Amino acid sequence: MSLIIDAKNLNKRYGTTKALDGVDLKVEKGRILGLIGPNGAGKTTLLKALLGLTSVDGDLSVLGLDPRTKRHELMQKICFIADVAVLPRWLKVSQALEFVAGVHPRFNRDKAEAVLAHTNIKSGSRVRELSKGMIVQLHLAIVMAIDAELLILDEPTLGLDILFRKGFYEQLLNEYFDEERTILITTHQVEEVENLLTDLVFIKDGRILLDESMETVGERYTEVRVRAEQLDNAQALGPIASREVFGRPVLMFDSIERQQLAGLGELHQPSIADLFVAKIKGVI
Amino acid sequence: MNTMVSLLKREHWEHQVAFRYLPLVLAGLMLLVMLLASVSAVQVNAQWGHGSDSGMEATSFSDMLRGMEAAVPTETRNAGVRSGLLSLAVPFGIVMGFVSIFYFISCLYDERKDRSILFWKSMPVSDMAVVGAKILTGFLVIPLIFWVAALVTQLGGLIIGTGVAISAGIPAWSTLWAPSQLPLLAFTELGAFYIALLWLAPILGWFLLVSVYINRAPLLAAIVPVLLAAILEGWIWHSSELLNWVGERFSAAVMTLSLPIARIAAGQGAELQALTDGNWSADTTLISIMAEPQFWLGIGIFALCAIGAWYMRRYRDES
Repeated sequence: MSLIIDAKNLNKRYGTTKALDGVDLKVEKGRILGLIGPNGAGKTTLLKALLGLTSVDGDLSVLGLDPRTKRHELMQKICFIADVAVLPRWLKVSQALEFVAGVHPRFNRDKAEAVLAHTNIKSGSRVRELSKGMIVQLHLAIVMAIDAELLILDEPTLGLDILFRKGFYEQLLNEYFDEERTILITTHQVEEVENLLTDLVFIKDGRILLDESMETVGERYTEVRVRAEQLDNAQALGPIASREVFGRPVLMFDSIERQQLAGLGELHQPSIADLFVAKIKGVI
Repeated sequence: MNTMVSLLKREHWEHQVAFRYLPLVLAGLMLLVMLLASVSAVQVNAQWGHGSDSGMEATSFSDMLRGMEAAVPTETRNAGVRSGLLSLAVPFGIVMGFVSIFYFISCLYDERKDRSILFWKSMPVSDMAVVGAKILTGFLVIPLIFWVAALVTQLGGLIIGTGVAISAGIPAWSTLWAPSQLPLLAFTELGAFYIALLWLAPILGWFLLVSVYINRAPLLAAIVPVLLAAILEGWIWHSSELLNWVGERFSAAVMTLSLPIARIAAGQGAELQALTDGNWSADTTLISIMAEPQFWLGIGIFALCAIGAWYMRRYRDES
């Protein structure tokens, strides 16, 4: 079990706001971690700290290197696709491949070309002639051809249509991911990554609210569609959140035995989105 | 090594218009003008030749050239060939200066403006290599490109001149090619291009620094503070040292650029070899220019600006 990311007590301030407030994060090899949080929660700041793109206080090691001092060595082993890291519009597809081949020791140009062959992207096209989806596809083709140990995705599919988003994650999972690689994803479209995550981290106001493996999340949290007459009994067990679905209360419980809840109503596994809302809003 | 080559290629791709099309168009235009002028002169010559029965006492163009060849002393004629060729390079030198200025003001700004900086930063390339590649492009590659374009134009000029000479029955080799001293001339000119640009180093360094720092309208942001400082200086001390200093940089660059011609003009037959001795006023040479403390001061200022630019690109928070 080797740690890919090991962060202890990360702190970062922008003026009076705390972007990171004592963040601890450990990520093991071969995991797919979803970093979920509302806007301004500190997700991007955390990713930028991991990538050595921003200064940060605290102990930080990524693939055994400190990103603050070894950024360019680290970049041989890390790839990232971010909504804000766009390919320059004047660049031709062939030039993009030539450039990466020239500077990246772990890039396999043939592989990138093979991936691109399955798309409508022509090697003579300039980025400005491509649609947003095709630009992300190009970026993905480049990244998939880099033998990286850690892939960081920051809102990679923002602004793309549903077909494309599905395809993006399928390709990533089927053709790229293996136990030697680690992926860290932030996204607002939680439901789309729900099934591929192995670990889940919630962040709000620069603090980690939840940091669990998906198995633990599955075991810990239960939603109950409570029958009206059982509502008082259910409330007595201390739900962490409640909402109404078709006029019936749905309560979420943390670490309560399923047998204990079974009598209250129908049980089901909460979605990440529901869990997220529950955790972010706190107890109602 | 491979990384540096890729970084230099990237600069070339990004500035294709300024680095490839601009020198090509300039060389093409100059050659076209020379060609049209020569062809029309030769044509007029032919018409005059046929029109001799009209009774007009006209000297033909060929006669004129032959007359000049005979009347003008060889040394003067040869100097004329050389300064003519060197003048062809001057427009390239001036355009090179403008291209460098615009290159340095935009080179670290554009990648932030089009938000591609995080893509570039996702590659395993140090910020020092990136800034280094930009400096190499600005000081090494740009002068080289414009020098090659100037050389091509000069060669084209000699070829056109050869055609004219043949049509006038003048030996082209001994009147044009041999006295042109083309290899030495081209080499001297390359030196003049590089040294002229280096005179602008402190200004280009300032532009580089502004380019890495400012978020919009970098050219304005580079010029306005200098103007304000100059106004303040005039207001407080009633002097204009700052603007004079900036002006001297440009005039030194232009002087360096035209130095080879000036020397030939001054000495009539002064040999190009002589360009490597003497001093600034009477006998200024490319080497003596480089001995000026101001020249090195400018390079020192550039170095400081470059370190600042590197530091900012490395540690600035990009979002």
